[in-house]
Amino acid sequence: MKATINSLVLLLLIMTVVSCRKDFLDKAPDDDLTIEQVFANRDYASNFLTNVYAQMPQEAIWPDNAQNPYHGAADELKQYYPISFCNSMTSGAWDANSTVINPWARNFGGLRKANIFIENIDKVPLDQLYTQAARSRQKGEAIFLRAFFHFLMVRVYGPIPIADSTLTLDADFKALRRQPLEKCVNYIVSQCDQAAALLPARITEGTEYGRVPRSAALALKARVLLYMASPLFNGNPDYTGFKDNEGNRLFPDYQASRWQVAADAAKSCIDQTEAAGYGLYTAANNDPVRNYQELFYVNNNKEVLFAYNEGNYDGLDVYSEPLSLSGFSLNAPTQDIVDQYEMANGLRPITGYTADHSPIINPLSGYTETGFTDVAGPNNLYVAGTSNMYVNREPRFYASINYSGAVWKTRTGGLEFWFKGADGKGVAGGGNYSATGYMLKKLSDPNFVWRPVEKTTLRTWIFFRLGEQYLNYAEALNEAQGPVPDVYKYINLIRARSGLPGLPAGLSKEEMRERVHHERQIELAFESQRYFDNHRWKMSETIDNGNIYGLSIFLGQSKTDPAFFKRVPVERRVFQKKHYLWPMLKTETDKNPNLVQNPGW
Amino acid sequence: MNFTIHRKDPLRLYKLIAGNCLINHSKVSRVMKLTALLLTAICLQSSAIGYSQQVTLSEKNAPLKKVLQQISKQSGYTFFYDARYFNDTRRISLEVTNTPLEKVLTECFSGQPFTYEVLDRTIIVKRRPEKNDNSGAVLSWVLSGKVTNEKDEVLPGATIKVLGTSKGAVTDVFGKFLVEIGNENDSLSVTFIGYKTQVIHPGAAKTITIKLFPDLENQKLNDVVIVGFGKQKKVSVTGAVSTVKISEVQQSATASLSNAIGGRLPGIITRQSSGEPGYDAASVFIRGFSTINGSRTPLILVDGIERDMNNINVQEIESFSVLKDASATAVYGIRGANGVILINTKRGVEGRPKVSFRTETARLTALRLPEYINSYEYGLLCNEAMANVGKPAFFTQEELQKFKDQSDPYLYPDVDWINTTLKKNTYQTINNLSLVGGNQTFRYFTNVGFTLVDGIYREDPTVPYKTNSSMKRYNFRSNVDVNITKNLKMDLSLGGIIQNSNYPGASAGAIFEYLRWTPNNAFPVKNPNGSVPAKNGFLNRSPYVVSTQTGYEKQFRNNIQSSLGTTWDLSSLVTQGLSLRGLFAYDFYNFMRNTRSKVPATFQYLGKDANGVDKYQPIGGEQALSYGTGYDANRASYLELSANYDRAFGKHRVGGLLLGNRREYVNLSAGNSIGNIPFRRQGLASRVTYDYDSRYLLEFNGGYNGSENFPKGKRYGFFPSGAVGWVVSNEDFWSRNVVSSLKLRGSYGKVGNDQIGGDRFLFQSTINKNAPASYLFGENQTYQTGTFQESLIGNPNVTWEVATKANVGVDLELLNGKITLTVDAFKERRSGILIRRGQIPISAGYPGDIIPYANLGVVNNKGMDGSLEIKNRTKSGFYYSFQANFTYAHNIIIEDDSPLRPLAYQNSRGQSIDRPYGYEAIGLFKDQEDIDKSPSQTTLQAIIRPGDIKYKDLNGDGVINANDQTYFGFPRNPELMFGFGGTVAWKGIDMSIFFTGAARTNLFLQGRSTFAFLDGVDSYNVMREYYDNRWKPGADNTNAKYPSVIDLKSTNNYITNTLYMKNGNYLRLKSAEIGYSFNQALMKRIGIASIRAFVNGTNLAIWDHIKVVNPENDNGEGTYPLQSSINIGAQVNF
Repeated sequence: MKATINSLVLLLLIMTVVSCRKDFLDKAPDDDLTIEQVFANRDYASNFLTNVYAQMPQEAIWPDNAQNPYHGAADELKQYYPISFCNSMTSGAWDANSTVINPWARNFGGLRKANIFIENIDKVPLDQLYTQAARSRQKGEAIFLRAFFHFLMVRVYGPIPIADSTLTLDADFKALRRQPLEKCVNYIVSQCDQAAALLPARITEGTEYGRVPRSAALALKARVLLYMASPLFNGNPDYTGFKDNEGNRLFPDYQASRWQVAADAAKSCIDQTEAAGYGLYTAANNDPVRNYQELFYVNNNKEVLFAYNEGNYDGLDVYSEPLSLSGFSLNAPTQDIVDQYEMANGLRPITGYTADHSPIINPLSGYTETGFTDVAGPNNLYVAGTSNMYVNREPRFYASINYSGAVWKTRTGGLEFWFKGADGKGVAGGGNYSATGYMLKKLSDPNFVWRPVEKTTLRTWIFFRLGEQYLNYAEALNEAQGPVPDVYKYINLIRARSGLPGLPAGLSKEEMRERVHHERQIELAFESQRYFDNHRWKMSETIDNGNIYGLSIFLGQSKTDPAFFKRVPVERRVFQKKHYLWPMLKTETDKNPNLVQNPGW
Repeated sequence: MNFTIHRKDPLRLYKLIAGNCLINHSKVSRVMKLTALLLTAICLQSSAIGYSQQVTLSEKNAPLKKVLQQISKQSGYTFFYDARYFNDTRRISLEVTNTPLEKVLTECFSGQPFTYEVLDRTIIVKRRPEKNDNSGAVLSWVLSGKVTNEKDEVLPGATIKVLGTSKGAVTDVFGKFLVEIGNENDSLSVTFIGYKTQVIHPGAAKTITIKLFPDLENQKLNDVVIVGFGKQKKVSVTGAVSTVKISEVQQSATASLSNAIGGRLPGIITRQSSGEPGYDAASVFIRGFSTINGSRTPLILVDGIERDMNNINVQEIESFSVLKDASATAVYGIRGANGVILINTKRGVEGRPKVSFRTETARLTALRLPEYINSYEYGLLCNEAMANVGKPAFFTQEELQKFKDQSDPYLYPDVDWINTTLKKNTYQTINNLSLVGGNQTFRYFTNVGFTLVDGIYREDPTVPYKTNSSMKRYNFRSNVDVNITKNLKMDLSLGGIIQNSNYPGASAGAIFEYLRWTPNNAFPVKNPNGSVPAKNGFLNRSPYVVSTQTGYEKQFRNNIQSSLGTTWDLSSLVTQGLSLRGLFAYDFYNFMRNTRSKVPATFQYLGKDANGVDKYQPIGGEQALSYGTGYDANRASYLELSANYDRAFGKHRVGGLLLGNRREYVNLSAGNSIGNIPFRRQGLASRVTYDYDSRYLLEFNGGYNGSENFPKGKRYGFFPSGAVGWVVSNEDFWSRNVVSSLKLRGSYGKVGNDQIGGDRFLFQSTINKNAPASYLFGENQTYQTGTFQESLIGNPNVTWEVATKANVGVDLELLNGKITLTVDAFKERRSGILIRRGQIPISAGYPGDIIPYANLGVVNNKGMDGSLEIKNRTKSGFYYSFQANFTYAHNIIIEDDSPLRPLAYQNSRGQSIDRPYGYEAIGLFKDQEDIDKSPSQTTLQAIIRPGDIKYKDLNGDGVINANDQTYFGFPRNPELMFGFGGTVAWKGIDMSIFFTGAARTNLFLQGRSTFAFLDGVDSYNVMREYYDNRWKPGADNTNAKYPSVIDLKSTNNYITNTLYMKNGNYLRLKSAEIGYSFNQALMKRIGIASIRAFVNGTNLAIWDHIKVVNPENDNGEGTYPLQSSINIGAQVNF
């Protein structure tokens, strides 16, 4: 009986335990924040802003389908990495179902974040550490980023829906329509103006590098207006009939005045930034090769208007490192861009190609395709025995391209890209090797070591630099007014920095246009510019359509084996009219049929 | 003859036997009580030794009965007689003092119709022959006998009856009995519950041994089935429940139970995709699956507590049940929708201690290691790829020759990486020692087990530590039941699992990836100077280096499972048939990982320089053996309180259950605060059953429970179900000659699934305070303010999935149970499936990872399952059986909130979950003319060449693009699974064979090694399957199965399409076993109760369409292979 009583007590006890805790399931997280709480605290709010920054594209990451397919998709580079999206783009093998890189998602996601910040930042209480000035500056940063995210989409999709505020979940999403291109561009410009008024003229505090300065807003405004004035956007006859499903035209008619607007914006950017202390970068010893080479790895130099802090990201270096230094050898400049670099005397070595793609050599330039030099290059740029193709080229060539014979880091005996060379296909393990016989040198930091023990350096990716604005201004001004002195002035400043003579006087507007295009191709090579320049000039159908060339990487037994130094097609590229604008993903247009797809997709 | 002993306590029993020595006639009820009675009698006998052989009596005209009682009291002798005859006895007057017993007895029995006989300390009173008998009539005699079962184990408590008389006896704990036999024509019936009643004619024999055989049919009547929170008699089960005999499961020697159950019982679909020790568990689905994002795995309860099924030792298992329909699972409420698996471990039984030892050792052989091409063939393929796109040859003839003749094996190697890296055979051993026994108040089951499985990686003898994978598991389980009082029982169960394993520095995934990466010609196993070879680029190591030179990892898993239960029978206190039960369980799991990883220095051998000295280029630097650690721990506690009611009122039988429970699971090593919040669940379960005359069955089940994962006010759900059954064969009109049993069942109800996928607490909008995407500020790029982002937009209405299930079933038994057949058909509609809202465009600012979830999805699932069993034992003792079962389940998405696709064939509604989506291949392009005539495929690839895959233009627009993709084939998890096999046994030999198979499934043979040169010529390894069957320029390609090769990734050929889709059906000889039980008499002499030795094999043969990889593989690439085993073992019972 005692046991019975005991067990009764036990059971009653259990029942009591079971029934007394009514809140057993009330266990939702209580340490989490709401949006309201985030914007009640200045630190939390600035943490939120950090995440808006994180939404910018990491353009330093080229392969692996990250966010920058624009080099491999242009005529300047062959990225021998088959799964990279740029290879689908250049072969024309992509459609609304297969745009692996999706600026649409990244930027609209970023826009929601920027809009939340802009809509809520005024709620953060001010105090001694968080003044109205600090709040305005943060707001300016978010407004710039909002403009930038729009721009990153406009440059690939053309007209887009404008995301100037956040949408609640019960909104009518089908009401989201693509806005006429000019409206999109005007919106970006207005945001740049707003941001510029709130941002500091230049970053002065060391802890603030990487934040948005006023120069970023000025530069973005100038660039987007240059795009708007360019043939792709400005009265493009191909898009006259491109309307949304309510009959609204999405592309405007041509207006010549857009060039002047663009020129004014670029000039304003140049003037304001130079007044704030920006200027073209030159190396300490003013060596023309170093002037140009260092610009891209000396972080936050005075030419950089806005750059992305990449931290210790090593991809810029590793993917460009030749095989003998254990690099992945993915970033291979094409023969096409190598041929474009001028001679040291400022003359073009090659003026065109015959039907069988033999180069038409400019006899005045001093360039020769055959033979090998007996002497090493100046400043130990290349070793004796190097092909004459690489002798006496302009300084930007030596700062940008690694070629057979070039001295690079510990490879004092010169790089060897021929088949049996130390950097050639013959020693490659698997699919990693230079597809063209060249490797990219520009952007790489000579202090970086990959193997056997990695020594990284801090990297930045330059979104905007003053040099580009010189060329933007020159281009727009030439289009608006013809080759007036300012056009010469700014192009020659760029050329002078790299030790090149100025442009010949008396060029016609058309000749000057060709010169500007060429100058941009060389000066802005591998800076995510060439792809968009070819597009906006509507020249991709000729430039990015057809073969690109490299050297005969499957041949060559020695340094002086001429079999290697022969142009061969590396890839046949496809560019159709529809490729000027990217398709929106089918999944997106399925969700919202009011988003009319771009022509041809 | 039957006995009823009216007793309330042992004291009374003592009186009855020793005092009265009287056994009253009347209806027997409990065998158990008899056993107890006899047990006490034995005790008394032994303690009676001190009694006197002399008697002092003073009786006047006393009944014989009274006198005998007195004698018994004084002498300690037990009388054994039939009290009925005492009615006509003469009364006795007797006056004796210290008179010898024998004399007193003679006095007492003189003139009585009885005589007596003394046997040991028992006095057997026998009737004298009738007066009218012949003068020479034989007196009756006592037969001494013993009753055993078919295994010669004694049976205490068997009832012996002399037919035609009221005489009888019950066997004692030694299975012995004494019974009075009247004459040689008397026959005895011997009965014991669960055994067939035997009638024997002992003739004149004085001793006899009777062997009883199990009454399988009758056993079935009393068979119980484990159901949710209880047991039910099998005859009265109305839900869809299937069970499997554990002996069948044991035939597959495997460390993971989930690998042994596929195809063994109806309702289960399994797929095992890896054979890696410790990671080889199969995915298990009950009746397929019906949810898109939610968890598809069933609820698995071990001894009523949520536990992992794969570290329970098979030898510890008593029963394995699968609950399939709403009726069976509704009591689990929000946890029941995916079906429930109930596993109960063995418990103690009354009887002397039985020790059993089982040991088995298996040789494991890797099944289907992928076959890759040799260096020469690889070289030819490289050149072919180049030629196909008009490029120069990749290798010269000279180099090809070197690959072929291996004249320069360091520069032109041909290494078979599979055989270099992997062993063909390895070993596994499983050992278990168990002890079971107990008495009426205390019963125990204990088992200790040791399992060792070795992996298939070869080791480098120069490496000082073990790199091969291996898993050691120690199991311990002790289940104890104690009757504290006659109404109060306690059960204490403890289980411990210790699993220690060793792995190479790289994961199996990485090693097999390197095997797919590394062609035979990539590098030698070692460089001429013994250094580790590598090349620049991604081919920086060989698979052999990855598996042997990158360190090792040790994993330690400790799992403690404990529970304490109390059952209180309130029959006498409150009402007959009512009991209460409380259960508390606590489980703890701890995982530790010590990783010692290493990077070897690597060099590329470049041949000899001009002076004949070997040249090397350093590739990677060495990193010394590093140390890393990781851990994982969780604990779960469970509390349950229930009231059970079960009582018969005439032909009505009523049962009831009311149960409350609560579970808390805490991830102690969660990476974030949300993960650390306990997972909690509590609720009620109830069941009411009604059974009229074992003919009409009614059942109602209800679960009411909730979880912390849902918003307040929406936490609890009620899930009712009802079932009816009609045992047609119990109707009077039914003739049971052929169809001995027929039952029709039907059920309908609702069950929930709270494992809905997605993050926890979906009702809350959350801010991720440590967002993955970050940004660094400052010149030194070190200054980071932290980064916050919206991590999810909450849905205040989020709730569980609801499954509405209907089931009809028939249980059929033919020829007295020789054939049994069960078939169930089911239909399920799963609604409220949690999915991310599919119609919110990205341009609204909601990228995929913050779009809220909503309970929008609907899926229908229907199918059938069934089983057939035929078994018989012939008169000569030959036993044979055949079993077969199948499970078929097909689901269809009704609603998934996807945007309506303009092309009907791209609509995911109406498709099965996970059905493949892609292009329909219609062959390979024959020639340029074929390409020109066909719809343009340049959207897929700029240049289409002969030998490329030709696709079907589904929308007829002349262009192949995304609009031509559609759904086809079957999902990877099969829709149909089946198993069949049989057993024969004769004398000591038994043989079993079992096949399993699956159908209605497809596998895609694709990936790096089928998609030749995915990253360019000379990039990855190439499977022979592709090489031998590819389209070759200029060859006869009528039988070509795969497209031609080009020098880089073919964007036309390497997309999901039907060309690579293979029929995934298979039939597998899952297990076969031969056993021999040694002669028992012989064994007994050496103190062993029985020995059975066996040889069995698992995964012995397969018939399928894939041939290249395991057809249960996730995709067509080589992964850690399944193992086939030949297992030798023995079980010894002491």
